[in-house]
Amino acid sequence: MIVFVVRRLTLMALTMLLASMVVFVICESTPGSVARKLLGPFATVEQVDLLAERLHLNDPTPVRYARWLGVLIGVVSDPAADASLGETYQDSRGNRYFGNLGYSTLYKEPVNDVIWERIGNSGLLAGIAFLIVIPLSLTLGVLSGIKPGSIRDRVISLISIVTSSIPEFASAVILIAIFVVLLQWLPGTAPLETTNRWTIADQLILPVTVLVMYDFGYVTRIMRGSMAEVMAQPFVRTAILKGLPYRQVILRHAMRNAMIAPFTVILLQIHWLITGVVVTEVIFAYPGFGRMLMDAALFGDIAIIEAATLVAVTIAVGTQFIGDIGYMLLNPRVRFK
Amino acid sequence: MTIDTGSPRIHPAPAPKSDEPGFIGRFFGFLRYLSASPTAMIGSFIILFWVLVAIFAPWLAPYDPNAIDYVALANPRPSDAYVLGTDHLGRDILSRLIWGARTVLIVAPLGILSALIVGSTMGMVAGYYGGWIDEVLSRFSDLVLAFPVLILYVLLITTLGASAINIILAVTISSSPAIGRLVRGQVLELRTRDYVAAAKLRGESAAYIMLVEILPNTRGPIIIDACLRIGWTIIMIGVLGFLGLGLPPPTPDWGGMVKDAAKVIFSYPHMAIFPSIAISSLVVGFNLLADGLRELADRD
Repeated sequence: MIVFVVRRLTLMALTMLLASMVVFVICESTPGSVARKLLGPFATVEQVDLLAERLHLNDPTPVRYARWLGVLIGVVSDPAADASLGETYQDSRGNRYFGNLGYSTLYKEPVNDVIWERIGNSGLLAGIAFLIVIPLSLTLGVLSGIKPGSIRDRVISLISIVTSSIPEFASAVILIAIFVVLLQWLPGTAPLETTNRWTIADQLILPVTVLVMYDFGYVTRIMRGSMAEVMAQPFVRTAILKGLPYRQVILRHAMRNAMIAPFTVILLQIHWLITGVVVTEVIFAYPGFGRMLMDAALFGDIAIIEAATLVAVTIAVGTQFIGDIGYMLLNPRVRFK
Repeated sequence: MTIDTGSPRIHPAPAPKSDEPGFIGRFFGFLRYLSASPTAMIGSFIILFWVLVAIFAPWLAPYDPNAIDYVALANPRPSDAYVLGTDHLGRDILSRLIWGARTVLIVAPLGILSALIVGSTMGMVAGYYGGWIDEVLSRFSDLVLAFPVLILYVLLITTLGASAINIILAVTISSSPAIGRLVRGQVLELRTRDYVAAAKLRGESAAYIMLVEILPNTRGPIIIDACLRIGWTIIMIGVLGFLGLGLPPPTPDWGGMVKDAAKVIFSYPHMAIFPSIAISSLVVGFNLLADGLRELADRD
């Protein structure tokens, strides 16, 4: 077990290292523009060249990647933190510390001052959506999986296929048209600041609904499939034939076994939520991680892109790891290898 | 004088009356297979509808999709002249929807086709040879799959630029590892079959065994998976268009139409709603088809 965990953790670290390298290579194909972006359109060519020189932007990509990594683990100080460049780029945490993600050229602040609050905001949005999706889809999945082919199963299946086919931006637009434009019940943006008309809770309703609509269908389908499979097993027939109440058969025999497969799917769903979160945040002007990432990608802010990708990859790999461990604990037939 | 070498002239044997149906026969056979599942039938009808719209776009569209009517700008709402109204530039929404079907139905399936070619090659090689090739390909897949799909798309498109080819490339990069994993799993199971052993004994090449003996037998799950993937890809292309990273204007693109319309949604919700319905209906079609095919496969 320990060997397994250590092996997986090493692989995780390796994946993250490779991922950061890939992002660096993709984004840094045009590094010279960074200095131009920092100084704005009115700086002279000489000023831009000088800043590029000071920030060592003309070094080859592997060197710059190594420097980025050095800054991250705290052995090298960030060239942008050089006091002679001006007061703008000062990090209150010091120049060298572990976890230094560098400076954002878009927000003109240390990345660590920018991202964590936004990640928290996105976590709130995704967390609420997740807390609704899981019980909802498990219940619907069990209800339709108990009797595959019944009317109830058909209706639930159809609803979950249709809702998971509507892209988030489409459902958001339709919901905004109904609840914001037509009925004026809800706000169309969610800046997470209480206004005199809308509370923060009001602002969260539509973004959460959009995420839930897109995501619950998939988990419902998986749970339905798993439940239908378990219901056809001999032990369920035995339980019914020995005269157990139907409720007991479902709750104690079928559901417990049917939960194993969806468990991993549910964890992988967190990975899926990230895409939905980006789109939803852009639509509702939600001050979260996804909108920050989009802005950074369009602007070409490498430090933010790297940091955001690392966070996203960590979430993806981490949930997969937890999923694997949980799967093995739930199902003793799967052995650690 | 001619010397009869006595070697028997090999006459081409008359083609045996084949029971294999031709292309048309197969198509109808497939339809008959589908007809057992209403879900699959409804899904294929929706897809067929959009495919026909895309093919006959030049004849169906009442206007040029990029023609601007300045008069219509005053009142872009649906009217007799413009059944679904006009957009923020005074272009006919119906015509743009019809031409947009062509865009999405070319880019999404081509992207998945390309991902299928790359992915199944990777999966077959990894599953058939095993060993270090398998290890390298699997780690590579893990790496790509660790990226949230949208982040991968956004990074690639912002770097490479927005064009149909780059979107197809991004679809290939992001989808082929998952397809490869699926194929690899199938190959691991199939390579122990007797007919593969027989082919090896006959001295067939590895390429022949993979392509002729193994690949055709993996098609069931792959087709279902591909249907789902085309649906997701249509959504992702829509999302890219919505984020302003889709096909460059003025190409009619459903996601881009929603993006332009979102700015004026408080005044003219119709501009955003019609393309949203179009894209959702097409994805519903692919998802219903996939679901029906799975149901049919489970029944066999």
